[in-house]
Amino acid sequence: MAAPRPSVSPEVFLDAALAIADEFGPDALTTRSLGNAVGLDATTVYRYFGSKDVLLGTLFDYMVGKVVERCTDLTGTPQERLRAVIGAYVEVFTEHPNTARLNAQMADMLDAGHGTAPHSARITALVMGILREMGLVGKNLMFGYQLLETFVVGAVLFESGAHSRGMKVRVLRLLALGESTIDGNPVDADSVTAMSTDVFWHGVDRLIAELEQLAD
Amino acid sequence: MAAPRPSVSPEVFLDAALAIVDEFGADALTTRSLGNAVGLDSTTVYRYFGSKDVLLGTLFDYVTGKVIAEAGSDIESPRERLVALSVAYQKVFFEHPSAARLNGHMADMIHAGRGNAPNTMALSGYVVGALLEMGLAGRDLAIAYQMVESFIVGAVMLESEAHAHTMAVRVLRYRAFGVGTPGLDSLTVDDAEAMSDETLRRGIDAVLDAVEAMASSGPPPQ
Repeated sequence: MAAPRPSVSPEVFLDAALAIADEFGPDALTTRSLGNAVGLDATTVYRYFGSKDVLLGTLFDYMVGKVVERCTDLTGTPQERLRAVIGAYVEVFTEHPNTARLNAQMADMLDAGHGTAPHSARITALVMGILREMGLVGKNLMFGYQLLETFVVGAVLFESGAHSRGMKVRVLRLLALGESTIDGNPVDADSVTAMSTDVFWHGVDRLIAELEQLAD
Repeated sequence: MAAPRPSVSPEVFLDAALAIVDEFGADALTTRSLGNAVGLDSTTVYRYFGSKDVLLGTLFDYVTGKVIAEAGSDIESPRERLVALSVAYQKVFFEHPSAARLNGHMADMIHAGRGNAPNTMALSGYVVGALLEMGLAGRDLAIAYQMVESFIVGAVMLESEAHAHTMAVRVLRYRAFGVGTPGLDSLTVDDAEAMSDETLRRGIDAVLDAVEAMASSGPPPQ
């Protein structure tokens, strides 16, 4: 990272990286493919990001930045604002399902001390602020945060895998269970997607009820 | 898959594959590295599994088989059976954290019709059976299954990664946000693991509470 940076802004790099991940999956994202997309050679791209983990970890944090952007004017009760943050998180990673699993690379990047994740730090602070308003303090605050992270980020991670595959396995399974319709609609990618959304918010409701029990 | 299979049993292949994934991560598992481990050339390994998705998908299903063995099936209460299954799922994938993310390959394998996942089918049967006993049917059964799967499998995927990183990122975060909170600003890896276990226990309870609420609300609305 000591070498002079090329005259391409981080946003241009990250938007190009996102377009590649969206279309071909994160495995297709290499210093070479990214270089081709922005008109620089692979060595220059490598010099910019240092390693593939940093590139992928930075891309994940960039996506979290998009979530934070959608959470600037939150109003309502703490519970309503929490749902709005969760809704924004789901929206961004449903639009870009191939990036949801890059949190592993961000963890590798942070663990190795090779980069920072400013947007992830912002969303953590935002959520912790809301949980404090709900009356969570000390260990219960950490615990409440962890409960949300583990189950909401985990569910989105898992659901994004189903979204990247167009819900195909899930449609097959429902048909195998003998369900030929969902709410009067044929079992297909659209109806299964609607049902999955319903499932997700059912689960979130229950987690928020659990958080309320942790309040002082 | 039409060629005669080599004289190495599937278990030998899969144990060797799991050892590679455990030590070096899923990316290190190739027909070459697996061939080296079992003493066969990579072409023979390729012929055996057909593709890397089938190898990784079959490995995920193999680890899922360990979950069923761990959970047992002699618990009377269906809810307790689902708790035992979730705890077993968590235990097995924390022992093999790099395998937890291979479910995507299994989905690809099944979708492409290139292999089957008998242990995963058995696990689904186990969960569906418990949910039926809890009184769920029709659309509610499908929703409840989906909720258990999305939240518990998802949570284990995410937690297994924290385990793979020995909780390092999480300990840093707790310390940063816990400044001035007794116990948090000096949190250790063991404390973080204990919090992770408690998180999973309470989350599983919350998800199963939701499932029970669906079961007691009568027949599904049409």
